[in-house]
Parts: sequence; C-alpha cells; structure tokens
Amino acid sequence: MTKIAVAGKGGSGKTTVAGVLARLMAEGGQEVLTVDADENPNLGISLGLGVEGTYGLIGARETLLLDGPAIADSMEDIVDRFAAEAGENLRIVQVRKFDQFRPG
Amino acid sequence: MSRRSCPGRLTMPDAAPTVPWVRVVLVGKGGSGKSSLAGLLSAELSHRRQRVVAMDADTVPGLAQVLGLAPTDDWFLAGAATRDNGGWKLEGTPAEIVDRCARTGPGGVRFLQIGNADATVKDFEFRRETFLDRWSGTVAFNTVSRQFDDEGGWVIVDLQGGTLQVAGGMMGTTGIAAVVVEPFAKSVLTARRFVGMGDWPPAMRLVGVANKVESPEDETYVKTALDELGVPLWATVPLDPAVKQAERNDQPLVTIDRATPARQAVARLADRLQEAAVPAEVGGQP
Repeated sequence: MTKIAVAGKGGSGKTTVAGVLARLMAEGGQEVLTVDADENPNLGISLGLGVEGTYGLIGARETLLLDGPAIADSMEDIVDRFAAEAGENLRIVQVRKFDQFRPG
Repeated sequence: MSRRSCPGRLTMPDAAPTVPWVRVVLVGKGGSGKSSLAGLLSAELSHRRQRVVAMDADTVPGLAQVLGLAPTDDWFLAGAATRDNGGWKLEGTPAEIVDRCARTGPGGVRFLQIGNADATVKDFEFRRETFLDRWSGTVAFNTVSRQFDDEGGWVIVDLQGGTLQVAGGMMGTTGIAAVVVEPFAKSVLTARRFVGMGDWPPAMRLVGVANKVESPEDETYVKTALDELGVPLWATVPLDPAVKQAERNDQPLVTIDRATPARQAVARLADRLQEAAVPAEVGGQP
C-alpha cells in the first residue's frame, strides 16, 4: 500500500491535485482510499460528489467522539464504517468537519 | 509583565465622526482572499479617517504582510496576558490592550496578530496541547474585541480559512460577517457550511463578497449560490492584475494604486458597511 500526502497553502490546489490523482489511479484499476483530513473538507467536490454531496459527508472523528471515548477498533473498521463510495475503486473518508458550534 | 511583543504606546489618530464599534469578520475558504480584503478594507476605512483595529486571528498569519508590516511569529497579546489557572487573563480594558500591544499600519490602522498558536505556546513556555490553546486564545480574542468603551470605530477580523474558528466561538460579538466566495464550488461549499451553522447572534448581519471575479458569469455563479443561502451579495471584487503583480513582487497590497479595480471594489464595500453601521436612532437603517 502506498500513502500519498498533499500539502500546501490554503487555496493552492491541494484538494484538486489529490482528487485528480485519486481518480486517475482508480481509473487505472487501482483501489484507492482518499482521506480528507482538512478542517474544512472539500475533497468530495474534486471527486465529483458535488457541493451538497460533499456537505452531507459525515466527519468520522466527530462521530467516533459522539459515540463515546472509545476509538474504532482498527483502521479497517473506520474505513468500513465511514468510507463513502466516490466511483469505481474509489472511496473517501472525511476525518472531520466543523458545521456546528461547539458547546462550551 | 513581559512587553516584548508590544513595541510601544501609540494612540489612535484623530477620528472622523464615526460609528459605534462595529466588528466585521471575514470568513471563507482558505485562499479565497480574506486577508487581502481585510487589509484593503482596513486601509480604506482608515483612509476615511475611521478608527480601525485589524486583527489577524489566522493560525498561519498573513495580514501583516498585506498591511505592509514586517511579518512576525509574535503573538501580540503576550504583553497583556498572564497565566491564570491554565488559561489566560488579559490585563486592562480592550482599548488599553490595543494601545499597548497593537502595531500601527497605514493611516493609523492598529494591527493585532492573535491567532498564531505555535507562538502562543512558545511565549508561555507552555506544554499544553496546541488545540486547547486555540480555545484559550478564543477567550482572549473575544475579550479584547468585545467592549471598546470610547467613541467607536471598526474591528476588522481575518479568520483562518474554513469554519473551525467559527465553531470555536469566534463570532460572538460580530456585527457583520462577510463571507468571501470565489467563483468555485469549493468556495461555495465553505460558505454553505458556514451559513448552515445557523444560530447566529441576533444582531449579526451575514453578507457575501464575491472575490477574484473575471466575468459576469463568475459573478452570477457566486450570486446564485449566495441567493440560495439567503445571503445578499454586497460587493464583487474583480481578479485584479495589480493584486497579482503585488503578490509576486512581495509588495504590500495596501500600496497598490487606489484606482485599481480591486481597491475600488473594496471602497464600495466600505460604503455599504458605513451605510449599514449608521445607528438606527441617528440616521436610520439604509
């Protein structure tokens, strides 16, 4: 398994590069898991899920925290529970998002 | 008390008749132009002899450069803050803190850099998790921008990209939240996420600013998206070659010609803000 991280300033095109890379690899027959670890996640848009589709993705981290202090059993477990299909051979896990106020 | 981040006591310039303190917060996607617009807006209001406090709350600060001040990693509130039960306590009234800690930019803009979490940790020789420090920083930030008790002016706040700081409580006393939207879906998604958080302070106005607009179609795209969110479009800022050139030359944006399209658009935004900020009992709502 190869992991690729994309980094840079806000607006520089990290998400677009990551999304295009992922799609190309998936179209080439490789199984691809994308992970959007941005605090303001947009990767779903680059994968073709649209504004509403991306807005509707859950944040795995918040969901785990809401379930209690326990962490998921394994990485496979997180992927099984939280990955959304974004095309053939292509899935996305969104780590977190901030779309509501935090208490306290 | 350490004052190493506070270069000296400076008072605000004589101000034109002005509004009660209005806090304008710029939000939007990373790279949408919040810092550029915050800096240009601060300079514009200051040019109109309004009193302006510009705050960079971004954890990766960039507003100093826009204003033509030397970039630094300092956290400007260090000279006014002391440790207090693992959090911070600020000494003095907000106006005094600005007097002590802010640097002075073009036209007398008072500039505070308060979002740099790493510098914060360093300043306090703190070993707490940076994430927690951010929330302590929120408290300090809200304290310092809440209650200026003199004649009034503008607090222009540049948040970090996205909605993390919004979720963390940095909109508390905001009068006008300006959502900066580029003509791209990702920028619209951030606006959607922000607006969808709801539960805003009752007095807060939510307005849209289209940025980096190259064509009527671009403007229509942003306006349509904002319409769907129920947010009025208050200004359209064109993609301006002068801005790009300044960025490439490492030239502060506030030094570009006032006649350039981007600056003129920011001037129109300042018009709208000033119209909106007229107190109802004096001039009525526009």
